[in-house]
Amino acid sequence: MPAVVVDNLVKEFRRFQRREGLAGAVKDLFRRDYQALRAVDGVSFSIERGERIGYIGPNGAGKSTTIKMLTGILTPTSGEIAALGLSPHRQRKQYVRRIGVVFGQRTQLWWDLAVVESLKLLLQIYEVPRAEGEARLAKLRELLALDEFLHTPVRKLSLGQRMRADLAASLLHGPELLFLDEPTIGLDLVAKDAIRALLKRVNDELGTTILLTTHDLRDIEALAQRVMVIDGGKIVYDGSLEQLRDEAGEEASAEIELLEPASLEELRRLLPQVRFAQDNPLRLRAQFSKRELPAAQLLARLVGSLKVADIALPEPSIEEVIRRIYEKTGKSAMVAAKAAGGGAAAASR
Amino acid sequence: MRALRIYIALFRQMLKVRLAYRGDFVADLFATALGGLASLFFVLLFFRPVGELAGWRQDEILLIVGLSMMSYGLFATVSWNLFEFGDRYIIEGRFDRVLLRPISSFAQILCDQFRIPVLAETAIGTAVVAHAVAGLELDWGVVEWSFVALTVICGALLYVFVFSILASVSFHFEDRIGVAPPVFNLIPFGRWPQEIFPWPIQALLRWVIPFGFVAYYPSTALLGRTGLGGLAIAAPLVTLSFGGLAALCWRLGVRKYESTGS
Amino acid sequence: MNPARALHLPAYLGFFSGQFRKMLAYRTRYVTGIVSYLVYVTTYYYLWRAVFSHRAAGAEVAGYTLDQMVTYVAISWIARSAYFNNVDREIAEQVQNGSIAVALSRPVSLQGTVVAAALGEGLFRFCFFTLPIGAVILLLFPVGAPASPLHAAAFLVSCALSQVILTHVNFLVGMCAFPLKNIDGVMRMKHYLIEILSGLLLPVALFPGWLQALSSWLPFQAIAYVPSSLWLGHLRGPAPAGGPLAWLAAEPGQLVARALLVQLLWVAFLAVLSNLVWRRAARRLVVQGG
Repeated sequence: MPAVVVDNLVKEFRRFQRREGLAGAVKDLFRRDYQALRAVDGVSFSIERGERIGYIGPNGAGKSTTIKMLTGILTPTSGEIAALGLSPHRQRKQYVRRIGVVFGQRTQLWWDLAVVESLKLLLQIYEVPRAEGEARLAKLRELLALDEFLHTPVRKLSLGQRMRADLAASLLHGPELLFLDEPTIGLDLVAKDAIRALLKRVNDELGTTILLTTHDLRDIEALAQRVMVIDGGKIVYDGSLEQLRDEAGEEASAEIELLEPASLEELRRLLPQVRFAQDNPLRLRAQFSKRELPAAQLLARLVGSLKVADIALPEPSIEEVIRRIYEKTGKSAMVAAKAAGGGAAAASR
Repeated sequence: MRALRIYIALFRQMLKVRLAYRGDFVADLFATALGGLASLFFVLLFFRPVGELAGWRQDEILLIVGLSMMSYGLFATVSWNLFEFGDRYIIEGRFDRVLLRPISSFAQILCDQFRIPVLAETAIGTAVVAHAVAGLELDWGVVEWSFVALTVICGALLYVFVFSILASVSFHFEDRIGVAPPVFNLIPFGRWPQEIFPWPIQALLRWVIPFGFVAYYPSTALLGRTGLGGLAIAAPLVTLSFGGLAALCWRLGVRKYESTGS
Repeated sequence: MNPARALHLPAYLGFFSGQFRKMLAYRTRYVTGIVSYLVYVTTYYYLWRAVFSHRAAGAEVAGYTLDQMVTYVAISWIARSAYFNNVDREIAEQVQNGSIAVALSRPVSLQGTVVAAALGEGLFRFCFFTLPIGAVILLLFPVGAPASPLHAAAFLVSCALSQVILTHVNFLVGMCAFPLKNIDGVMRMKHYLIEILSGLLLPVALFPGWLQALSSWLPFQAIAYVPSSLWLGHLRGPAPAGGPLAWLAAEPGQLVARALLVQLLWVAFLAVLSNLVWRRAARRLVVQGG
């Protein structure tokens, strides 16, 4: 049986529309305008035990709203969630005992308590048997290197330390499911790497199922076996990371450094399938479709006809990949309109 | 029982945190004492030129005021979060964290900001009641004092329930201030003999926002005044029914919670 | 204070209208505010009715008839709805989050901006709180008219001065956030002191002699007791024998002038005091870098 089954999940919010200016503020005093907003719009998926899933999408796409429904914080407008055989919001107390949650933006710990006191209090709240709790705390202290700040109040921790403490708090009761909302936000590169390595270990060694949202696509590359992309409240992609790359990755590019300047016209005659651009006389960029022209063939033709110093074939970044997915699914207009700040523009494109 | 153990652990930690901010603690203590004394002072200043109010002597009024202060002090130790609920928990989003813990969300709110210093109000109220009882030369035994204790506890719970019902309105309407302030301002109404008010206000404080049951109706029983005997001992029933209502409102509110905090 | 700075009017106007707009954003506060004032006036109205109920018609308590007492209570609360502000909390927040340092880089004085913002809030409160609250209260309760046109005009001036006095008191309380981390306790203490000593709950004339003498040396009675007494034309009280201004006496015009002078002196004194306190705090801010 899957760990989580989500069926046609919908969440609607009502948003108060503030009017502009002084006259608008006076009007708001007497009558308010509301707009219904479908943050999550018919999402369905299932998660097997032990999976590591990356849940990505642009700002306001519905990621956090989905997580909050999965953790029992929000009650869905419609649709069903069965997680660990329970309904998160209906059987909240029973359910949250078996999950761990980390919100990168905000700590789950008590601001004024020392880390160790927070953790011990959590052990009591989750009613973890004493021996089990102590063993797990010892393990987490080692795994997360908590000892350097164990007796520091949470408000005095650095962001990286706080994230480690929060991770410890979320794992203390041995959860079967771990939800992370932007777990690496604001961290430096070293701290990010540490968190990623740790999450991988938790998944490998404890078999904890992990679902994380992120803006940092390196998190996804380092952690996710499976990627779900949400946009406009709908899942627009659900599959493996490799498949995601393949699907969007037919478009390739090459960066070519030359020893001697080459004429663009000549190149275009030689390789009509390729779009060339010139940064300077000794530096070219080429864009091509792998289906029309395998990369190896491109390399051979180039080396055969030019004095080449170096050729690089950069992998497409995931930002790029996701952008292409949006293009494929016809969501690009919406993304563009959102970036421009007007939802209404979507219809006209 | 095991829930109680968890709450006691929470209490102890929060108390430790409060005590760590010694300056705040002392300031809170002074402010509470001053507030309690101000209420008392008002009654004394008021009665100096007035002498008597609708057949109530100063010490009889002080009995009502004292009982009300005792209840209020107990209520205020746990209730501070209820007034800031919309702001701290809904708008600033702290309620997410509360919902992620496997214990009652309501109990967590009550435990999260435990204020010891406001017990000063209960202490002053106790002194006022003792003074009033001595001044009125009442000969009270165990029964009467037990009734006082029951009254004070029921009164405190009644305040908790009324303000938690108002706090749960924050689930539906996001607003930093909330709807509690005007009701909070009704508390002084309950500190005066109800018969000086016209019937709509009496009805309001009896049936809608029943602050009359905190101190006034029990005082009529304690002072052996006639006519209100039934209501005087109804306080526990009123408290219980408001407890049920509060639980229902909270439940509905949590279901409506939108977690829009940032 | 540098006069060129103090006369930087457009800049102050910006603070003025900004505050005005901020106030409009809170609808619930608005409605609950109006209800709260009604509750207060209602309570004290019935309290005094009960007090006078078994006295002869026209009887006085400490020099007030029932009509005068009701008028006093209603006018005090109506006036409060205009002059009240939260400058203490706002200053404290700025101190706590460090944004008060910005005041040092502005070409206008902090005190000037605070008073301008408070007057902006005052105008807002007058239009949107005081007028509806006043209308409802005048409809529900038998509130007497001002003693004379002179008294009415003096009352309005006096309310504006109350606002400036309260703003400075609040400013000083807000400054406590420099030495103290949290000024909630201080703010509550100030609240109770003002409630009792300003004469908002009870006219100062009802206080025992020693407390009346004490109040006349404190700024609080200039906030509520003075304007309400001006409305009533009930000016025996503001400076009892032995008070600092007892020499200025007798005719109604002189009494009105004296009442306003008392307020003006408090404005001047508190302005100087606030300025001193802020300068000291600012010097420390510069030296310690916040």
